[in-house]
Amino acid sequence: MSAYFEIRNLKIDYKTYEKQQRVLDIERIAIEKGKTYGIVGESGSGKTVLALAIMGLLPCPPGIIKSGEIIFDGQDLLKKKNKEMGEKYRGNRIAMIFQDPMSTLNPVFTVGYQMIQIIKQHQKLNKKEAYKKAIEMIEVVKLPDVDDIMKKYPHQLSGGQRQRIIIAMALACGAEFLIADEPTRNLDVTIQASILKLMKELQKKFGVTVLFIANNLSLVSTFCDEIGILHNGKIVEQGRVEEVIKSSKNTYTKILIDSVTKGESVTKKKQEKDEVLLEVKSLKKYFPVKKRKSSKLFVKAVDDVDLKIYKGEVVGIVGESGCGKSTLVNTILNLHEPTSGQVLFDGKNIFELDKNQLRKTRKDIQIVFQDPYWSLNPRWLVKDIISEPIKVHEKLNSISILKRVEDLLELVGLPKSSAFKYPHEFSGGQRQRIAIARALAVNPKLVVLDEPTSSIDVISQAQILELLKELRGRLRLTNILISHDLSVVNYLADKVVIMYLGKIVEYGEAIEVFNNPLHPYTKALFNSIPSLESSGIESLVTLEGNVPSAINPPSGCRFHTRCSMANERCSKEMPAMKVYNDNHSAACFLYEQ
Amino acid sequence: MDTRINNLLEIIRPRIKEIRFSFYLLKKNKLTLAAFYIIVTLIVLAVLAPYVIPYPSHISDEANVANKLLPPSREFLFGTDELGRDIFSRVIYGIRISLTTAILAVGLAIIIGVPLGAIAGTIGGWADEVIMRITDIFLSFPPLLLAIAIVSIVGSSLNNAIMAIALSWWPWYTRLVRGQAVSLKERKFIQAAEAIGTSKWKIIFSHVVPNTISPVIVQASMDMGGVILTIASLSFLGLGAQAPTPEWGLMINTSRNYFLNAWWYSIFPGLAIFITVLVFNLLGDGFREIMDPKTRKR
Amino acid sequence: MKKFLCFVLMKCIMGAIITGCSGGQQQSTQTTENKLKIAYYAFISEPYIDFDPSVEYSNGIIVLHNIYETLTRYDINTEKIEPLLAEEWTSNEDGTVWNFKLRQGVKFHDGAELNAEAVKKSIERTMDLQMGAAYIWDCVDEIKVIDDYTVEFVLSYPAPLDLIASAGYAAFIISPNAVDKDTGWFNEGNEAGTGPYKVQQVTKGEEVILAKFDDYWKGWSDNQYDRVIIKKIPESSSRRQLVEKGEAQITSGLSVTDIKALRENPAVNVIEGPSWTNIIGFFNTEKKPLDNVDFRKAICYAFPYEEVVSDIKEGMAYKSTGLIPKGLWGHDESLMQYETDLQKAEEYLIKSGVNSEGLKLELTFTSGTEELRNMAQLYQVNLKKLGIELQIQEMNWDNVWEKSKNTNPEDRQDILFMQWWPDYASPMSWLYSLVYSEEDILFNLSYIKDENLDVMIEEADILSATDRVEAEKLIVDVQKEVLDKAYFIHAYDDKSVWAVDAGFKGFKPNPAYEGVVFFYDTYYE
Repeated sequence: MSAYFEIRNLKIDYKTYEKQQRVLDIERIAIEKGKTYGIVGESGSGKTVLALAIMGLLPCPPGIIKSGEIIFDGQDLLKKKNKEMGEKYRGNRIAMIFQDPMSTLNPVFTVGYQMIQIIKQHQKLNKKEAYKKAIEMIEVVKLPDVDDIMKKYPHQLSGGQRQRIIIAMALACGAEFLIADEPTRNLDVTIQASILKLMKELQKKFGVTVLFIANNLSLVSTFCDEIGILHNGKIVEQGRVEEVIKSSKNTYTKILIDSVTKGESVTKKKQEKDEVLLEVKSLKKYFPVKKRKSSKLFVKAVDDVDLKIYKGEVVGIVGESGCGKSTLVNTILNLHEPTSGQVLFDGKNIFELDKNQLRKTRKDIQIVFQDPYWSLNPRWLVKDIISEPIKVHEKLNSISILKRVEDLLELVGLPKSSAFKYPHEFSGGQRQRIAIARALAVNPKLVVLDEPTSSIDVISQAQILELLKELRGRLRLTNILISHDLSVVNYLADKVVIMYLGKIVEYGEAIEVFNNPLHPYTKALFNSIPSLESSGIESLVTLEGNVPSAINPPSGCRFHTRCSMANERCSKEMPAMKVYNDNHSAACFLYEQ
Repeated sequence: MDTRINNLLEIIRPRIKEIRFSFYLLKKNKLTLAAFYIIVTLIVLAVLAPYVIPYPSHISDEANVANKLLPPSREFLFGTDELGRDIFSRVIYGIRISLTTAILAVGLAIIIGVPLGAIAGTIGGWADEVIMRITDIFLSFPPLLLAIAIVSIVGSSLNNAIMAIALSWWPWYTRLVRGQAVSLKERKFIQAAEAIGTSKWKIIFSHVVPNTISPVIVQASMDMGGVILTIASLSFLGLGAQAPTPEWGLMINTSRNYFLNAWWYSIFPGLAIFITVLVFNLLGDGFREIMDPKTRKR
Repeated sequence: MKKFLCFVLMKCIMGAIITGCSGGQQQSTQTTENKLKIAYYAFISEPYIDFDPSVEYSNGIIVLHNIYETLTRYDINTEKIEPLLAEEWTSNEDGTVWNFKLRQGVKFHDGAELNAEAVKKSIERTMDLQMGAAYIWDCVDEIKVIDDYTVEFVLSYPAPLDLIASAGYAAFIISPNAVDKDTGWFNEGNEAGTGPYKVQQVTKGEEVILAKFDDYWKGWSDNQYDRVIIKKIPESSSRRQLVEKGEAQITSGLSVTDIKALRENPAVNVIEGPSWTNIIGFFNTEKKPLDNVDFRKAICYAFPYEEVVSDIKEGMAYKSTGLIPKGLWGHDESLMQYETDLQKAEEYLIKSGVNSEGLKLELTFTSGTEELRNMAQLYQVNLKKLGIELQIQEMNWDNVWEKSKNTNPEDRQDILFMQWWPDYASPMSWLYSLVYSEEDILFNLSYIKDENLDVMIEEADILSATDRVEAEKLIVDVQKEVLDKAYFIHAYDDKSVWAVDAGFKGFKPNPAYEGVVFFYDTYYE
């Protein structure tokens, strides 16, 4: 007697030019009906292979299913012919939700059209009935203005809305088994929380069994009943969430848990001289909206921001997508021209420098980008990548350059032989190290880290953070750290800045802000992030509504439309940054003295 | 010194791996593989031509009119032409001419077209507008006609033909590279280079251009076939190679006067053109297949 | 596989298109049903450039000599000037006054009568227009009408007017009704001649169709042709095919291989005859190293004379002896000839002191003639043995001529090959056009500026009117000097080679009228 969904002895190989590798070797996974099972694995662990294999979508070749069974409701899916899978199972009983809803939805058809098509195909209803069903499901996923939504195209919806549509599609066809492969990876934290809550509700309501795949341990453990840890194609540990987390037996699991919790340890505060390195004054950056030739509309990406960064500090900038943190940083780096305002670096306004002086300033401000894959030129050797800034700003001969490169590699913990390799020969984490080495190549005064860990694996993340901490101690750099991951900011930053819709809403020392958030947005933000300690999805705070448009931001306090504590004044007046105590300030009327 | 050599080897080693991988993919497609071997043979013949052909003096040194227009025999595998010269030797020697002119023409087109495309794509703005409008103008002429027009002005010779072809071919590369450059702009490493302070020119030539090589190689190998055909056409029209150069198109032109009596004179050069153009097209197709999954892999 | 087949298909289509293009249009107007006898002359080029008989200086004479007539005509059988529109003529002692008696009862196509007035007006028209070969009348001071059928020419210097009046160009007699018309009227396709054929239809650049003029003064017999078609067929192989099939009656300018094949064909007759066309190589004597006599001699000894005549022309040419071609007065068989002798060439090369290492000479000639190209390539082979590289540049005539006329001698070619034939039956054509010094470059493309030669030529010209024998002596002396100075390569004298349908009779090529078929003299069998 097998469980509702069971995988037995599944062995899958992948054949590449060089060799044939075993990518999946699962002894047993069993899921009861109506339960949620989470699979946690890093990239390359085989989770996508698993998902595709279940759906019968694994490309063979290069995949080779050597042995095993996937039992679903008594039937072995691996033995089914493709036709049968397509007619009876795929889309019907088993539905899959992918990571990127934009690529799942066809951009040239309206959302309504696509929903109706799918319903018609799987449920054999006529157009009218299908339309009704579609509306029903969209309401189920809690999207308002259903008729309006049906007429919209995917690109006109936000990421969260799109993902809800995908869920609606999955449920509309009566799926009883849902495979969710990183469904919230591309979404903001607050949106993520609401999607997860929705999924949990629907699961209970429709009795759907969920297989949830992600690389975020906190996320999976918050959402699921049982989890399995996937490492190098094998399930190294599985069981109920509490058991696995609290009393894990496997080494890898332990490392994983450590990496996650590490980020929440207390950071040291640095005593520094009060010398200002970078000062931002009333900075505004508006992008013209190119809808029509004469547009007076602007995207107010950064709207009147003041900021002071002292030497030796690490300042974290936190905010969700669209808050303006990337634009702020790009403007500081002079990759954008500001609409108004000043940026003073070492006392000089960088926008008033001539070409030569600007070049010298560039030497002092370096950046590590978010994406370790494309921030390095794939056709350059590592040594050329790292030495590029050296060649631009200094005049060294090639032997000295090579020496410097080797020193830098050592500094970031990579072997010297890396210098003559190509980026694609390294993992994500290692590439990020290369990027860091490059940033440090010319001894800059300020290093900006733009989401340095978001695109890499949990374990590598932890290592990178360790490295950054170490470097900071050794080199006494000043850093600006942008992240949406609070644990990262918590780990490294001295001060933290919270941004919302182009404005700074809260500012202060990291420990202070984290322990005692003032601004309602900050509170909501902190509480919507799942952690290993959170007791289930229900405990997450969700923010209603979407982030308002930056072209036409709300009047008065930007956040008042979504704030549970807003009053009339909030919609009329803009609150200024008021110091609460010491270095902690917030822009909210609640804290007016 | 030792380290320098070591370093050089280190640079070459990963490239060798790439090449080995390409061969592996190449082997998979039988037709492309055959084309590849034929091209290697052609190149070998081109290089060794003067030493392997039976009558090397028949290229331009000698003529034996008494032997004119003899049909194929053991002595003269492809027969003789109107001046008694061995057509087989001349056709084989012609490989050298076709290949070198094609490589020069395509090479020149790439040297002109690729930088322009990279500049247009990376800098954008007015540079893009100006370059693309010029490209559009050149593209609106059919390549052969443009080449004919250019050669008519500067005079007929093989060198002028090469130049004319390069001038009519470069716009395709500009367009190709520009498209690549525009999509590469979005890649972070370009932004990273800007943030580092690398000059715009260095970005274009050190960052952008190397990443556009793959489609350029595909295009170039397919163009080889087209260029060989164009050169032959120009020579056929009297606008390219001049007597006594054993260029295939010129040979076919001359053969027109005798084709009722000497079928071999037009068939063999024609066959040579056919085979050469065909194998380059097949190779180009094969390259495209190789390059695609690779870029996906990256 | 699919790609392979597509390619093969493409190649076949391409091949078909190419051969199709060269094939030209198919033509079959030969209909025996009409019982009209049609003679079709497939011609290598456009039938005419100008349709105005006073102006035309090119191919057009092949048409005009059937529509118009001249006072006298060079007869190939007697090799003498014979009467045509003029019955007889006399001249005074020093050849300055010529008196022609006209034939009576000759009608123009438009009905007008041939008389002295008409002749005077015709020739004056040509002289006034000063186009084409009008220069042949330069000697004429005044034309007097003595009576209705007697014309007198008063010359400013002695000249053989009977010869001049028989010229291939510029000597046609036009109807008095048309004398006032301008060139444009003629170019529309109109004519006003006395000849055996009238114009039926004209398509400029392509073809001319002529119809029998019933009132022709010589009268008609049954087996003569009612219609004549002259059409442009540029490809030798196409012309050959037309004659082979019997669709065309006559053609010329076939390649040597085509002729060879046609000789075997019983349905086709190959007719050879004397031609006064020869091929001459011109040296750019104003450019180093061709300004050096010994160098010129050296490369004269390098030219492959025998090979050209026997292998390239397959015997359909004579090796040139001197400047004047075989069969024309002024030709002297005893003149020296340069032989192909590479040793002598070496000797003269050394003697000249010119360093032939890496020396490049540029040769130009008009594209389209196989023989010239092959000749050039053989010459190239020989010169290579001397260490000289000959670069062959064949272009169309306009470009060749343009290049030769460059004001800077350095920008001109080194060697130029050209054909030459006379405007009328006189060797003076070669001497005046090719040897006599020129202010503005025309055809003296060796750029000879020799006062002595100029004087000799002028004297010979005067003598030619009165004392042929003395004139010839001078002409031979000029040729001796030219040979001595190695101003030219005397390559070969062409033979006139025609391919005619076996049923087409009565044709004999006339070297005084290059390319002309006098259709009246032909008949159908």
